[in-house]
Amino acid sequence: MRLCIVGIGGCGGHLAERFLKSQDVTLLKKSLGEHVSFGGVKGLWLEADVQETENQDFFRSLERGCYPGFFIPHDVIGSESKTSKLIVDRYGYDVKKQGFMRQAEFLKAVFEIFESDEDVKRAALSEHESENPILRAAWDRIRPYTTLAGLKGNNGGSEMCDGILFVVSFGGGTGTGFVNPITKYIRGERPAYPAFVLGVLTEEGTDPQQRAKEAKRDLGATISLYDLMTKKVGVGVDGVILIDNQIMVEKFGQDYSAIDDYIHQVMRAFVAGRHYPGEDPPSLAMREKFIEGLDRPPILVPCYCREKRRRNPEENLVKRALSEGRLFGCDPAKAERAYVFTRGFMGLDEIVRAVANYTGLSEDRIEPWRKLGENHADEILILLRNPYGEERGCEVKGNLEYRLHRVLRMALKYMNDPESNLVAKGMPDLTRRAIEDYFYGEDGIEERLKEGLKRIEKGEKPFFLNEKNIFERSSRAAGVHEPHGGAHRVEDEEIRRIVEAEVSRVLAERGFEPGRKSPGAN
Amino acid sequence: MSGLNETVAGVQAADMSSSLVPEGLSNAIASISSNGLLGLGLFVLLLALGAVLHRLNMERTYRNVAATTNGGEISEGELREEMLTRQGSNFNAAAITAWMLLFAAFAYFYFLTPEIFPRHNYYQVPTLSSGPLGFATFGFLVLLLTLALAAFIPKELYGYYELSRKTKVAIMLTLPLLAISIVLSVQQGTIFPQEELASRMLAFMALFASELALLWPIYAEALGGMR
Repeated sequence: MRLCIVGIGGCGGHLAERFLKSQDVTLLKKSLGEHVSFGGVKGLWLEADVQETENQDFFRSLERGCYPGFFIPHDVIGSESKTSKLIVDRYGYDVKKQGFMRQAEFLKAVFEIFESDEDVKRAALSEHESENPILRAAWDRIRPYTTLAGLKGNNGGSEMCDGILFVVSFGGGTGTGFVNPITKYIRGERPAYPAFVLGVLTEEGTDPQQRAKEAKRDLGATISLYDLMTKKVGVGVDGVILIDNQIMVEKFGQDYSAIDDYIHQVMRAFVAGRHYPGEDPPSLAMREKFIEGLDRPPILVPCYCREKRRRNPEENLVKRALSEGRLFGCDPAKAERAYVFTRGFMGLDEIVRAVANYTGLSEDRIEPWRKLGENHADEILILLRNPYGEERGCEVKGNLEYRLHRVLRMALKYMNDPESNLVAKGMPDLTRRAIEDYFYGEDGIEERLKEGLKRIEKGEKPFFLNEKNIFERSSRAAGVHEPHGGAHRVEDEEIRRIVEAEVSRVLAERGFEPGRKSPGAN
Repeated sequence: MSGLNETVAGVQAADMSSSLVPEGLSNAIASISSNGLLGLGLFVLLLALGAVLHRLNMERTYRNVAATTNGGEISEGELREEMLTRQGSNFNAAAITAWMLLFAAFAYFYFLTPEIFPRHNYYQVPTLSSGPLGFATFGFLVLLLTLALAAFIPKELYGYYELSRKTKVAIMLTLPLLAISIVLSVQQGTIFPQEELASRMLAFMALFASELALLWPIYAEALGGMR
């Protein structure tokens, strides 16, 4: 297994830096040789905020051929772009708007516009030779590192990555918006290409760096999780590895650098090379195991422990990982399966027995993969699949349900806060209606989150059920778009408004101002 | 006049060495560094110990993997392949250079002047040692002779260990250290038949500290494995 690490957004970039740090020595930060990362991973950083890229010196511009590099996908849209103007005029979205200042649903909306609006597609195609230039450009930068590029390295292609690990923060900025749309591109090329997400749920309270309120970030996280968890297997990602920054902050304080280092240390067992002979699974095998028996991507909770090497370490490592090493609160006894990655000398049977003992899982639901260790230490990383589903589990502090219940409640609270201004007044009617319907419609996110809360309370799996889009492709005519109404019946008044808006738009395009007499009229 | 120079040099050397290390230790280093056979033995012993420990490390890894594998049978070749880690070309280049310089520094220290091995030294070939390239020819010859060995050792040794960046930096830092050792040995050759004890001791310490640093990953692995 060799993964392509795609850090998206600020947090994703910081974490990706840990993964992609060169293992080689350099003189005055200049490397004369090939970049060698731990586990042979490759990757890049996708960012929307130019300033963020200027505040660091690890990633250099991919556009200048540097590696490891960053890429700002929105830069492919020029400031004078007709596509951009069309989107601003029709939908009120500035596709070049940067970073965390955006609303949680911003990227989702923008990418859906590119997917659904035939006029935007046409404009983009004529201008950028792609219907969705932002995503196309992003995917074009990722693809060369993957086996999908079909390039053969010196080692028969084994230098290429056979899977992708998106690294994001579920905070509502850039990271959350990119994963699903890019996955669509991957699936377009090879439906079974492994794509995993490592997502960090931001801590409780106000973000000290960006001053973003918890409720706002939680809405971003909810929208992102909702989108990730409701995509069908083969459409969306193949697993979401969840980390709760609240646990990290309790462990390391506000030292985010130490937190990033620790998360990387935890994930080293996952990405490391030096496998036990015959135990090097391709990412595809990992994917199959992750999604076995599921029709939606699973939540994977990492539990980690590292100890000085000693005889028969399995029992103690597993015990400690599952008790004090959880990176997201959960009840291991509720896990459906366990994927175990070890580094050091450990017996397969002993690992399986210990995990079965502490989780109650039958042995055939435990998949261990072993690797050689380092520095006379033994490490274990256990990914617990969907470790939730207890009735009233949301009332038990330390459970996954407890934390997610809070996130959903905060998201709902933010949606109902008049100050949140989710349906901005200055936006065009089309967008306002779409957003209003998306959030507050009969089948809107608000209702679905309430349903999700109930499912969590009842201990039902999964807690999110069906996808929800902001903009849907119209089935009647190109260029006419309407909000996704679900079972909601469109009212006559609404139809009238849509037709009026469309007639006004067409007249405006032809040089007639609505309400003004035509030149030839008396 | 030369007697006076020797006295002055001796006093300077004594002053310098006493300021660097305690007198007892300084005397010990002085006597070891002047003892050709002892130094040669120590140098070879450290190398041989490194080779033996490397072998033991590999065997221990094999045993540990076999012991935790059902049936206990694994292919040694396959395991070696899995263990191989890419350390980076900057590091590899630095490591190969360091090993070449180690042998060069060793040769310069013991076999440049007749002080340690009066019958086996570069001065026995006056046409070369007094030639236009002087001591440089000696260095080139040693580098050429050890090139194959120096190129083989880092790959065989370091490829099987997970080296931290700190360890790699330490190995890289042996380059200037060995350069210092060579320069000081050349200085000894230049002022011969005079001697400068302090610079000789410094050259000796730089040489053996570098050898230890270059072999440290193996020793560390062996030490950790014994615990």
